[in-house]
Amino acid sequence: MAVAAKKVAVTVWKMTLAKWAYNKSYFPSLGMMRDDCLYETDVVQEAIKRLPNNVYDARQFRMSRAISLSGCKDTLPKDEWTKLEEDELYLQPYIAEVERERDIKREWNKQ
Amino acid sequence: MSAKFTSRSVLQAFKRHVSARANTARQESTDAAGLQGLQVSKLPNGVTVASLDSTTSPVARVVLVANVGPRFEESDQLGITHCLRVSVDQANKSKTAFELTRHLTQIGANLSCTATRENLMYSLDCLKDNLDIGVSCLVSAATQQAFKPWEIQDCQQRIAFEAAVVEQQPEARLTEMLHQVAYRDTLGRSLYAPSHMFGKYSSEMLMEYVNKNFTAERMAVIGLGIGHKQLTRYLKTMSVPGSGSNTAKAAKYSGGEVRHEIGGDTAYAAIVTEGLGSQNKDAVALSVLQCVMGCGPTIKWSNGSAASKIIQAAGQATDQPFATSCINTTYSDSGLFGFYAVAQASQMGQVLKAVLSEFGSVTKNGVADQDVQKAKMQVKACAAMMSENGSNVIQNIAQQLLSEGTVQSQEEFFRLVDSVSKQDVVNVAKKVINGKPSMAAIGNLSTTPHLDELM
Repeated sequence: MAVAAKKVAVTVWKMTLAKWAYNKSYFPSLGMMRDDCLYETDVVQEAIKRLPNNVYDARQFRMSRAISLSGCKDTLPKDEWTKLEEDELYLQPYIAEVERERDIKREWNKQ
Repeated sequence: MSAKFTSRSVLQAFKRHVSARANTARQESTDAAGLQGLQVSKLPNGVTVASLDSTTSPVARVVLVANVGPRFEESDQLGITHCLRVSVDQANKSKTAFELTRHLTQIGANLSCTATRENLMYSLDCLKDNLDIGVSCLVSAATQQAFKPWEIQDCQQRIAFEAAVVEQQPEARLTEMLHQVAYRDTLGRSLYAPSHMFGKYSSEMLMEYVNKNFTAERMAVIGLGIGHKQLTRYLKTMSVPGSGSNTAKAAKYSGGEVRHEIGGDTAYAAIVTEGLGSQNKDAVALSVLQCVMGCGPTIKWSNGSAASKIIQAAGQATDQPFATSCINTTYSDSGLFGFYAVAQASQMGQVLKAVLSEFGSVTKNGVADQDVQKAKMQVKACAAMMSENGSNVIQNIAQQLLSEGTVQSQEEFFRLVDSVSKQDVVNVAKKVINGKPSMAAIGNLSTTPHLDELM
């Protein structure tokens, strides 16, 4: 379930600022994506259970590579850092679905 | 056990091709019993809709039937119908699994999915006032399946459980083995998933199967206790998942023998030849022949020898407990006709030989007039009693609509039964009983003869 890149009309300087802030964050230098760094609440854990196998394996690889790099207090070479354009919010659709299901349950149980 | 065979087989014999009529014709029957007021039409999306209104009962039943049974499975899709059936309560495109269950419990409705070898029937029973929610649940479960990958994984456990339950029932295994040896593929495909496929059903596989097979001309919706206009209004937004036409492979009967030794005290065996499809003009005569041979005791707890010729014959061959019944299974283009016997392991050979000689004597010596009369009354009584139950009526209409395109009323069926003569029964007996046999046996087979030793 590939996430279509959300094309928002932003001005150039906003984009430059966004890229600078992204690169300043630690996680792209370890080769991780934004969705890899989410705190694992119940909802996020359920969403992770629903990932297709290849997406889950890629996530696991990125996380274990990042853990081993951080253990050596090292980072990836600059050209291998995750770029903002390549960062895919792969987990958001599943999270949205889990949240929606929980809302429906809550609504029904209210009555 | 034998009573089950009677009701199933005679119900199959209900299906008859009377004459070719346009599917879109609005059909109003003025018969006294059965289908008075049955209306049939076609939706804009091509699905056939039939409804039979009744004012007496507050319960309405709606059945969505698709001609998508195991007979359409390819060799790499074995058991996919089992998976489809078990996933009826999973999330679909318009409702989550939780919502579907809650809606149904809120309106006090039952939604179930039944599979025969040729059809998949999604049935809904609910009160007439709640039909709008009920029918939307039914349509979403039957035509808008989403097959979420994580829910399909949960289904596999249920599939394994059902297959394990069937493993414990020799009679069920016997039926599957019999069909497999008689037809090999198409009608020989099992109703249950094989163990090598547990865990292998994927979302893409199921979606592809549904898109290929759930086409408009192979689907029909039947309502009992609901008006035609009302039903078509509820179905206005229904979309059909499949497109294109898919001609069914004709069922080819091969014959053969299969045995499975599992030990124990009893042996179960069935011997059949190729019977007749429901569209064959002699199918009714074959049902009469089935009742002539005997379908089990007609009085509860009796030994049945007064009612059934084959029970009488087997009773003379052994004094230990046994059960035997004539089988007549009818599908749309083929059938199986023969008998089924359960006996103590040491008596099986005698029982089988006795029953077989009874079948043989029918082809050589014919049948008595009073046997034919008795059998005709039994066929009519059985059909009439089955039509007392709404769910039987609707399933019968569903299967007839899909295989023949028209529905035969009870009075027409009775007329056909009455017109069967003794000569018809003898002719059909000679035609069917002398065909190539198939045999399936399971249990303690120490004295069960092989097919070539019996014939």
